[in-house]
Amino acid sequence: MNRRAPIIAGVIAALVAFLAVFLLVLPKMGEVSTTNDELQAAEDREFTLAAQLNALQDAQAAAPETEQEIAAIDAAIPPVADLPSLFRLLQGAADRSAVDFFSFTPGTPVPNAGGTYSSIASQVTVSGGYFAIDQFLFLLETLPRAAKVTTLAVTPSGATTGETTTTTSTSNLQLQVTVEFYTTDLSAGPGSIPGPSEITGTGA
Amino acid sequence: MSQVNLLPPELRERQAIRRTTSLVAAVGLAVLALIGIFYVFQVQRLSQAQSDLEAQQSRNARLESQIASLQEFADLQAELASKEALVGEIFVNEVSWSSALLDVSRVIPDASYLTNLTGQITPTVAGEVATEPTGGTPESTLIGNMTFAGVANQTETIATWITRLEEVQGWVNAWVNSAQEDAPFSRIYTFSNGLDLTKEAATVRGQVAP
Repeated sequence: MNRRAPIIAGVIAALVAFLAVFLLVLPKMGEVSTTNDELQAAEDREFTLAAQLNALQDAQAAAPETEQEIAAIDAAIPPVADLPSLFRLLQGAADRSAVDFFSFTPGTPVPNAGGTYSSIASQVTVSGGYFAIDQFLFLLETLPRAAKVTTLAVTPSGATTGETTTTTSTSNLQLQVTVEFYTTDLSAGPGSIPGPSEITGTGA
Repeated sequence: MSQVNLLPPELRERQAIRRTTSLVAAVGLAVLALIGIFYVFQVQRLSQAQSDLEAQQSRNARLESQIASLQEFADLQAELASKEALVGEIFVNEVSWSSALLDVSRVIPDASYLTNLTGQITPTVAGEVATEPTGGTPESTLIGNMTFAGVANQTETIATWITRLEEVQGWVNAWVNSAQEDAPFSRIYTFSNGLDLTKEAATVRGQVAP
């Protein structure tokens, strides 16, 4: 027998082992590793999805309140200018605070720079006692319709703004305010496209 | 007693080579067997991992389906958030003038009365930063002003008036523009003054950044 037979047998065995490791075992280990990575990623995604689902279930539970809040905001900033309701609200506030609703001059609605709403800067004049006009201002600030008083002037009744009067005693005062009302209608007022803007997505 | 091997040396050498070859072959087969066992183990691991992955993907698909069915509530929340942002933008820097009038009635000295009161808040445009005094804090950002005209008995009354105005939260920079005696030695003064309103004078909804 050839003296090199053990060496040849060893080389053949090593070669077969080497081929088995590189052609069978290592690829399989790679597949296992890849699958484990995919499994880990899928498990991580489950956490994310579960958190998302929990948030949505909370949102579902809170949906009635959410809808009420949206409805309240829609009432505060309606999809149309709705001047008739504005008149009624202002007259109601004047009646409740015992002031005389003297004048109301709604301005032309002006869309804001962001194109999300229009503001209607209006002049309102009422007359009454100091605490009556204070009450009127309070009711104005808490109207169901969003209103922001940007300027006000309180003068003795009969005097005009900026005019210094020498009246020494009067309980009747005149309040002139510039108050902004709002609508999500970006095309409101005279000459505009009738009805709410389509971007509001809600009907009038 | 010593043993004597009578086989020829070539035969003995051949036997030794055969033994060594068999040993090497056996070791090789053992290594291959170990590799085979390890391979089978890997196949089982892969099978288990694939099975786990399929189960996990099935769970994820179920969750995604549930999420899709609840998407309308996410839309509702997004709509509310957008409307709340709109409200925040609208009411930025809003001042409660009814509270301001009450504060005036509280701080005005007895020996004086007002003939004129005006107030205004500085118009803000989205993204515009309101006036902030040099070295000031966000709370000291000026958002508007008030002016007064009135009549007071004695200059001390006017001094008390402007001192008290500064005691109201959010009212700063009280300043007298003029104080003029109506007639010589009458001690009756006609005055005009004003003050600035800071962010602290704004309502709660007016203090929320849009």
